[in-house]
Amino acid sequence: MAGEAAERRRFEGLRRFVVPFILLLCVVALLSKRLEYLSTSYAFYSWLDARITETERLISLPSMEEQEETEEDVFFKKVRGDLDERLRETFSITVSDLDPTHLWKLVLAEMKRPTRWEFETLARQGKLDLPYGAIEWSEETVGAHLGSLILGFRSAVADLLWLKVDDYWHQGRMEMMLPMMYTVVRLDPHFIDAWAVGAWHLAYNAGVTVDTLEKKREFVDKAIEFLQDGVKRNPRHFQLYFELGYTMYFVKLEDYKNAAHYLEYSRRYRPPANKWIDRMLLHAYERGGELDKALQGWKVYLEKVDPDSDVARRFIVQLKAEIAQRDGREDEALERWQEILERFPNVSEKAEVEIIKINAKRAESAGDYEKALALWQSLANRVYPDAYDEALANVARLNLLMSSGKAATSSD
Amino acid sequence: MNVLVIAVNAFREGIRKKTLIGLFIVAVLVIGSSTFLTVFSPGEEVKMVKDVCLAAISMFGVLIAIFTSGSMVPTEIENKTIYTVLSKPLRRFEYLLGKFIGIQLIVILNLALMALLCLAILWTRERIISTIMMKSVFLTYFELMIVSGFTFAVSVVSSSAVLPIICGAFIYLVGHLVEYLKGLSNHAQEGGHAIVAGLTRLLYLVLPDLSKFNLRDQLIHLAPNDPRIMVTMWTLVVFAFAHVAMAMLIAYVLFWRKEV
Repeated sequence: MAGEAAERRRFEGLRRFVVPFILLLCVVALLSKRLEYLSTSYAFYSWLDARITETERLISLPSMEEQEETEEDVFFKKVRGDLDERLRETFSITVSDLDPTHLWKLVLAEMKRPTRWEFETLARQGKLDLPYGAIEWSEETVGAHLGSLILGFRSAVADLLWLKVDDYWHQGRMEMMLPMMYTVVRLDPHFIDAWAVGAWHLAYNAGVTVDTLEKKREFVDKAIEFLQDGVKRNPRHFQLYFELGYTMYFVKLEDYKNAAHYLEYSRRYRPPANKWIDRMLLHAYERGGELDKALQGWKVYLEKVDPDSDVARRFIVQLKAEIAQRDGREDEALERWQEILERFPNVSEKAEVEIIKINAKRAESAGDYEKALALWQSLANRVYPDAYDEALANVARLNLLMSSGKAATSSD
Repeated sequence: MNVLVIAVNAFREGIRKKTLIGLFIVAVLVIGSSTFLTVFSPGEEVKMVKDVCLAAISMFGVLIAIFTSGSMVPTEIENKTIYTVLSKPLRRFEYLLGKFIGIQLIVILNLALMALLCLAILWTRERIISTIMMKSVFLTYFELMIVSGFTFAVSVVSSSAVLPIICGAFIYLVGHLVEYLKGLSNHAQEGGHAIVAGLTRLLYLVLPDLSKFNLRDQLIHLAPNDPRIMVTMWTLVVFAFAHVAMAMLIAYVLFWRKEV
């Protein structure tokens, strides 16, 4: 009897813990729900940000243009249209005008609407291209819970794998290096140097392993696609735009228009101390034929970015000469090129070349073919990269012209 | 007052343990070596240092938290000092709370020392004090607090430190895999198994999902003004306190009528 009474007392004592326990369970569950809501909201925010970046900032490669419209595209158009409409009505702006803080607030509000359900369903079905690790449960393909399996140490594991990538590169084992490179950025999408160096490997080193130009171009396209993926995951990091603009389009493809497009974004997000990006952008304008824009840019650069820059001063004169040349004001152009020769004698090769070109053209116009030929020949002998082909072509043309002229005279 | 006395005593007792000192020395060596690891990856020095330091702080922090929480009460039972303490006019809850606070002081001290070393290494490279790194360590502590709380709850029913320590490691590993339950619940829902889906969903919501603290790892690479940092961080802090309250309640229920 005494034992039973003790048991009953024990049971009754335990009963007083039940209510606090249930209450605590409820609190924990509510907090879990709240964290889940924040996590889904962040995934939606990153996805929206990435899609806006993709549609407004990234230049489609020819292979991408052929792709059919996916469920993700349809969902994005719907969400975008809806948000734009509401923002336009209230504030006369669109989603792409919002800064991260306001976009986040908008997303938090949006996640209380049916959009959330649709987003979650599509994400679970693996139909959305979500930033890796944003919500683990949507990652069906990479062993969904990769991040959990490595106890959340994604960055440290990515670092160790990156050391291995470097190792493979030095061993020349490209076939091992490339897949591991993709794993690294999948584990740590904010590993900027992995995106940058990885794209460089694809465009410059992997391309060497194939023979045809077509295949080499495929590797460059893969590198661009890789960097674009990086930009979508890091839409406000200057370096990836710079790699796209300078390393890929400017240097590798010599496509200065697209180079300028990406370099403009890189300049927008660059750290204040980095003036190199501004200069490369202005070079891209110049080489892309946008001389007036480049001239205006150098003036602003000299005034606001680097008032002591001799490079800017030289390019201002040079661009004035080029603009005069383009507009057919040859005397003014000659005067400007001459100014460069006098003021910047150490970097005057382009000026010398342009002066020779103008004089050669003038000599030809005056009918002095021999002088023109001699000038073009002297230019060809300099092997100046930007003028070499033009000089050779003119030498050949003038030789032909003169020999046919002599032939005509002798036949007379 | 009783709680404070026991906490200070537990802290003094804990920091003298050779296992903890050993763990701390190894942690310091690993963190210190992070600066040499960067030799293999030029251009990535700061990122490597941050990642290795943070991983070392978390790993050794977990080990320290598990060893301290798992061994505190069993050692007292083994040494029979618990009989002397509990024979005094002291409520059992006060005893448990005091011990738990003492454990937390040890964990905080170790984390703070490791974080200081990391910050010093980063200072030599960047010449700035990384506030993001501090936030990350701050979040790591709350993750460890949950592990420590549940390990402590197990330790109150054990007379040896081995079982709670193994359980602590298990809690940490399983805590990082709780998210699987969400996937399981979704699959069950899609397959039309509403009851299984509901149960797994409920478990997912109430179990301590430590993968939510993975933000600590992402923090150091996100932009300082990333919109989710503050709101998620403070929710995680409250989440950790709620779980610790639950762990303490379980510990008290188990210890309430324990015959010691």
